[in-house]
Amino acid sequence: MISLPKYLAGQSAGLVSPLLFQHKIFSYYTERVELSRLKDVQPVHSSAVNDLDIDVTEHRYLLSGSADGSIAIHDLEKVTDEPHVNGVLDAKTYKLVCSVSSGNRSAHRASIETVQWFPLDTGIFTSSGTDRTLKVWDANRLKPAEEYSFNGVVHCHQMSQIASKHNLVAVGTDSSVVKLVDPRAGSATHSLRGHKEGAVRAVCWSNRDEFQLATGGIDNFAILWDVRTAKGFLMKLQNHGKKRSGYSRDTTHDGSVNGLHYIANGHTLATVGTDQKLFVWDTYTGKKLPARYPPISHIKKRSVKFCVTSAGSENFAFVPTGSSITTFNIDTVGKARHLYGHYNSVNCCVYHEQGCQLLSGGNDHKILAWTIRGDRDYGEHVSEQRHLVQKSLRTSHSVNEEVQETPVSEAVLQTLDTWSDDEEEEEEEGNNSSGR
Amino acid sequence: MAGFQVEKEIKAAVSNLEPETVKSLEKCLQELTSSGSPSLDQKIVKKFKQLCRKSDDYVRFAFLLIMRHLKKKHSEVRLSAFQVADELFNRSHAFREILVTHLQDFLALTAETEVKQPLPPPKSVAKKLKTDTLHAVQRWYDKFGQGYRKLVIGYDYLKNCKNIDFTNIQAQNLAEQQRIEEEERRKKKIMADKLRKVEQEISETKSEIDDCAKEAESCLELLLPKPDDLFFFDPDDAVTSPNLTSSKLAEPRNGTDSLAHSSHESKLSSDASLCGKYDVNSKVLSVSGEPGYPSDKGEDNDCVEKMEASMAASLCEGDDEENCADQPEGSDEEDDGYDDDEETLQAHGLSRPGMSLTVEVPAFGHVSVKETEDNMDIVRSLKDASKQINSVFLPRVTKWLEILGKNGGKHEDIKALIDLKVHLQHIKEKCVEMKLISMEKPAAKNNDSDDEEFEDVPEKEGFEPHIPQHMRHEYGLTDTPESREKPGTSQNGSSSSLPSVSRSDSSWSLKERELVSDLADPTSRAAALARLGLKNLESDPEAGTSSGSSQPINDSEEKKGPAPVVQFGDDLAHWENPDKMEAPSIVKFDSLHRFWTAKEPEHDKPSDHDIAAVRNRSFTYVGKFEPVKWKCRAPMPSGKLCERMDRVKCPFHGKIIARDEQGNPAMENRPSTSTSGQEKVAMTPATESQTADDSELPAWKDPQLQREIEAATGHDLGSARSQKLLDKAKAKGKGKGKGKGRKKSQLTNIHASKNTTRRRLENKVFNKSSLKRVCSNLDRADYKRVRDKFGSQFNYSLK
Repeated sequence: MISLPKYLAGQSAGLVSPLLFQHKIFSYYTERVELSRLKDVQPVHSSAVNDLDIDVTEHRYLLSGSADGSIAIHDLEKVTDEPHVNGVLDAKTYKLVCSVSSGNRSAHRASIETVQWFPLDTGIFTSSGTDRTLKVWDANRLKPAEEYSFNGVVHCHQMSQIASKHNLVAVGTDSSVVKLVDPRAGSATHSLRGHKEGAVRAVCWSNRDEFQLATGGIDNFAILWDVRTAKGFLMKLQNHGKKRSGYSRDTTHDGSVNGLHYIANGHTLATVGTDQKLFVWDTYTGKKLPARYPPISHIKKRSVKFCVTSAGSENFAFVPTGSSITTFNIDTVGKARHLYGHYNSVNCCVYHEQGCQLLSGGNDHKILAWTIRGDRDYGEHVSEQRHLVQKSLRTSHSVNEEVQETPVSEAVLQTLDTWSDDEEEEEEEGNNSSGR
Repeated sequence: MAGFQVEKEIKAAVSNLEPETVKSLEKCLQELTSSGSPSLDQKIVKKFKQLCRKSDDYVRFAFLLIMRHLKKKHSEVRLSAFQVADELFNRSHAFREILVTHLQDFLALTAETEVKQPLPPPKSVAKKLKTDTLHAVQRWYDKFGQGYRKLVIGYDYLKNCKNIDFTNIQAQNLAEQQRIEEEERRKKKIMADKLRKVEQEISETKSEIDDCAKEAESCLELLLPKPDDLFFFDPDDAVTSPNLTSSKLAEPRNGTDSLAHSSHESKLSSDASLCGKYDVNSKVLSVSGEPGYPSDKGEDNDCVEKMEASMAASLCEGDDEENCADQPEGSDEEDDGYDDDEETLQAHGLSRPGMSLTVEVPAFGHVSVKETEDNMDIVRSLKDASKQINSVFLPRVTKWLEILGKNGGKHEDIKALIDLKVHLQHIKEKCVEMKLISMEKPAAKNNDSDDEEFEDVPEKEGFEPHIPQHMRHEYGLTDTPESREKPGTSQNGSSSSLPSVSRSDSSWSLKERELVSDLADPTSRAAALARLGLKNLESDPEAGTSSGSSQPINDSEEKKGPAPVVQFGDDLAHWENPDKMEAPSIVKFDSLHRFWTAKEPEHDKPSDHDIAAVRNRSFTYVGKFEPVKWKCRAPMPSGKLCERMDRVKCPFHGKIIARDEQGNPAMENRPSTSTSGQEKVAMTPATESQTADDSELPAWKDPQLQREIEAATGHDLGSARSQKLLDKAKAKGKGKGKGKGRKKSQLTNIHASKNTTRRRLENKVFNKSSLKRVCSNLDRADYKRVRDKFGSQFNYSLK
C-alpha cells in the first residue's frame, strides 16, 4: 500500500518529482478502488454482459455487448443526478446513448463475445460472437456496414490501437488458424498458421509495434507474430520450468491460454491460462518474468477479458475471477485484493483512466462502476455542503439557534453499529435500579 | 465459490483471536444450531451477541462460523444459523459489510439461488428457510440499502436474474389463503346440499316407516300381548292405555274368539282356591315383569310367557273341566281369558292364606309362535313388516344418522332419528326373539338352497368363540344385534338369512342378560354352565347337533359329516401288526448283458427311510379360513389407533389385548383370576411381569423393541420418547446399553426418510455378491438344461 503523506511531504520539500508524485497518486487511487455507492450505469441489458470497451479517442463512450446479442453505448461524461433512486441519495447514473436491442434485425443472433471501438474514430465499432460473424458497425446509424462469417465461433477479435499503416482485424475462431481481416479489402486477407490445434481464445496487438500480434490458443501456447512475414511466427512463449518426472513443460501455460494483454511499457505481455495463473513475459527474449503473482481462480474455458492499467500509475491487473475481481500490482508484487460486487460470475472489466474508475460487466446483467473508496468521500462532501447551505439559510432566518450536531449522512448512519437495542437498555436500567 | 473458503479463513482468523472467546463462540453457535427448533433461544443469542460485541474481529469470526454452519447439509441447522446471522446483521456494521460481501454465497446456501445447490432436507424447514431469507433480504434492503451498495445490487440480482418477486412473497401467501377459504366454502356447500337432501328424504319416508313400524308393532301385540295387559287388564284402564285396549279388543275378532270364549267360560267356572293361586302368581309375575319391561322386554317376555304356560299346564292337571288340548298353542289367548277372572277375584279379595304355592321357573327358552290358520295373516304381515324394517328402513335410518352426524344436522332431527332407530330395533329384536322365521322352516325344508344356507350357521357359531372372551364385548358380539348386523347382509333379503341372525342373537342377548360379570370370566363355572345351557337351548333338531355332548361348542366338527374315506394302502393292510410292514425291495441289475448275468441279483436292504415312507401317510390339511375380526388398536404417536388386523400378535405392538375406546389396555379392570391359559390370547407371564416392572410403559413400548422396529421400518415409533420415559422411571440400567449411539442433538433425522423399503431391498437385491450368486445359479441352470438336452451330442457339449 502506498502511503500518501510520505509523498506529500516529499513533494512539498521538493524531493519528489511531480511526475513521480502523480504516478503515486494514481497508484494510490487505483489501489483503493471500491464498489461505487453513487455511480451507476443505466441498466439496459437483460442478459449477461460479455464485453466492455471504452473508446480510445475521447475516453468517453462505453461500448458493451451482451449474451443475447444486444449492444449498448453509455456516455461516461454525461452523468444525470438523480436525487433519490433505489433509496440512494445523490445517485449518479451514466446515461445510455444508444443501443442495438437483441430483437434488431441486424443484431447478433447469438451471444456477443467481443466488442471494440475503431481506434481512430467513434463512428465505427466492431463486434463478434458465437453466431460466427464479425460485424463492423456504423455507430451513427447503428447498422452493420460490413459482415464477415467464419466457420467456427469467433472467440475474440482485435484491431491494433496504434496502427497507422493497416486496418487489420485479428480474429481468433474455433479453428487453429488466426485470420486477419482487412476491412478495406472486405475479406480475410491473411491466415496465420502456427497453433497446433483447436481454438484460438485470445488475440492482442502490440501497443508498441503495429505489426506485432500475440495470440493464445487451447494448445497451451501463446505465439508472437509479425504479420508482415509470411514464413511463420516470431516466437512461441515457452516456459522452461523445472522438469518434473521426466516431463518438461515447454508450453506457455499448463492449460489453454485464455487471455492476453500488453502491459503499458510495451515490451511485456501478461497471459492468463486455465492453470489459474497469470504470467508476464518479456517479448524481446521470450522469457517469463520471475515474479510470482498471486494465484487466480475461476478461469473458465473461454476468453478472459482482463485489463491492466496503463501508464500514469503502477500497473495493476484486474482479472475477473468468478464472482469477484482479483486485483494486484504487477510491478511490485503484493497481496491480491478481491472486489466483491457482482453476483454470479464477472465476465469482463475495463479500466477508465480518465475517470479513475473500473467498469465491469457480469452474468447478473449489470455493469458496475468501481471508484476510489466507493465515492464515500464525495458523499460526505455532498452532505456537508448540504448542511452548510441549510445552516446559512437558518442563520439568515433566526439568529438564536442552537448549534447543530455534526452532520451525518444517512448512508453513514446506516453503517453504525446498533448493539444495544431498547429492550437491552431497559433491562440494564432495570438492573441498575434493582442494584440500588 | 468465489474463492471463499470458510475453513481456510477461519484458520487465518483464529490466530489473531483469544482462544477462550473463540471456543465459547463456537459452543454458543453449536448450541443454537443443534436445537432443531424453529426459533432461537434468546438467552444464548444474547450471550453470543455479548461475545461478538468485544470487537469487529469477533464479529467477522462469527460470520465465518455462521457460514460454516450454513454449509451443513441440514436445513434446521441452516435455519438457525441464518437466524443468528439476521440478528447480527441488524446490529453490527462489520457483520453487514462482510455478509454483504459474501451475500452470494450466503444466498446460495439459504435462498437456493444456485440450481446445483438445492437446500437439504427436511423439506418443510427448507421452505421456511427460503421464504425467511427472502423476507430478510427485503427487510435489509429497506433498512440498509443506502449504506451497502452490494445489497442493492443483490436485491436487483434476485429480482432480475432469479426472477424473485418480492412483492409477491406475501401475495403468494394471500393466494394460498384464498384458495383454502374457497375449498372450505365448497365443502360447506356440499355438506349443506347433502343435509338438505337427507332431510327431504326423511320427510318423505318418515310416514312410511312409521306406518310399517306401527303395523309390526300391532301385529306383535296381537301375537304376544304385553304382561301388563295380561294381568291388569281392566275395562276402566282403557282410558289410560287406549292402544292396548284396542289391540285387546281387536284380538277376539281375529278368528280366535271361539277359543277365547271357551277358556273364558272355564275360568269363570273354576273354584276359588285356584283363583287364589292365580292371584298370588299374578302378583309375583307383575313384580318381576313390570319394571324391566321396556328395557329388555324380550327376555322378560320370554320368561313371563313360559311361566304362563307352565301355570296353564298345572291348571290343566288340577282341573278336569279344563280343555287341555288347546293349551300349548293358545296360551296367550288363554291368558287373556284369565285376566278378567283375576281382576274379579282380586276385586273380591279372595285368597287363601294357607294355600301352598310353588312356582317353577323353567330354563329360558324361546317363545315360538306357531303359524296356524288362525294367526296366519298376522304372522305374514308381521314378517313382511319386519323384513322391510330390517333390510330397508334400519340401514337407511343408520345412513341418515351418519350423514346428519357428519354434516352437522340439527340436534332435534338427530334425536328424532335416534328415537326412530331405537324403535325399529326394538321391533326387530322382538321379531327375532319370537323366531318368527324359524317357524317357516318346516315349510321350506324341501327347498335345498335354503337348507344349505342354514347349514352354514353352526359353523359360524363354532367360529365365534375363538374370539377371546374379553374381546367379545369390544367387537360388538354381545352388543345389540343391530350393531353387528351389517346392512349389506340383511339387504340380501332372503328370508332364510334371518334365522341365523335370530339364533345367535337370542343366545348372546340371553347371555348378556344373565350374569355378565361371571360370563366375562371364562374360568368360572357359571360361564361353562351358561355355555352348555346355551347349547342346549340352541340345539335345534334340524341342525342335528349333538347337544348332549360335553364338548365345547367351538368344535366345528361336531356336526355329523360323512366319515372320511381313506384310500387303501400299506398302512391299512398292516393295520393290526405295523411292525411287520416291509418296504418293497429293489432289484438292481448291474450288468445289462443279455447272457452274462450275476447268479443272484443283489437285493438292496431297504433303509429306515424307505420304511418310514411306507408307514407314513400324508394328508393335506384343509383348514377353514377364519377371517380376523379384530384390530390391534394400540394407541400410536399420531393419536390414532393401530389398524392392523393380526390374529394373535401385532408386529408393532405385541400381543393383541383388549383395549378400551382410547386404546388403553383393559386388562387392569379384569379380575386377576381371569388371566389363565384358557384364554386364547393371554399375556405371557414374561410380558406381564415386564409391564408390572415398568408400570408406565406398555409392553409394546419397550424402547429396544421399538428401536429394532424403527431400524427395520424407518418410521418413528417414538423409541426416543419411550427411552426417556424409561430412564425417568428408573435409573437402573436394565437396557442392553443400545442407547450409546444416540446423538444429543434434537435435529430431525434426515436420514430416516432415506431408509425406505425400496432402498433396503435394493441393497439386498443389487448387492454384488447376491448378483454374482444369482448369475451363477442361472448359468448353472442354463448349462444343466443344455446338458440334459444335448449332453449325448458331442458337438453340443459346452464344458
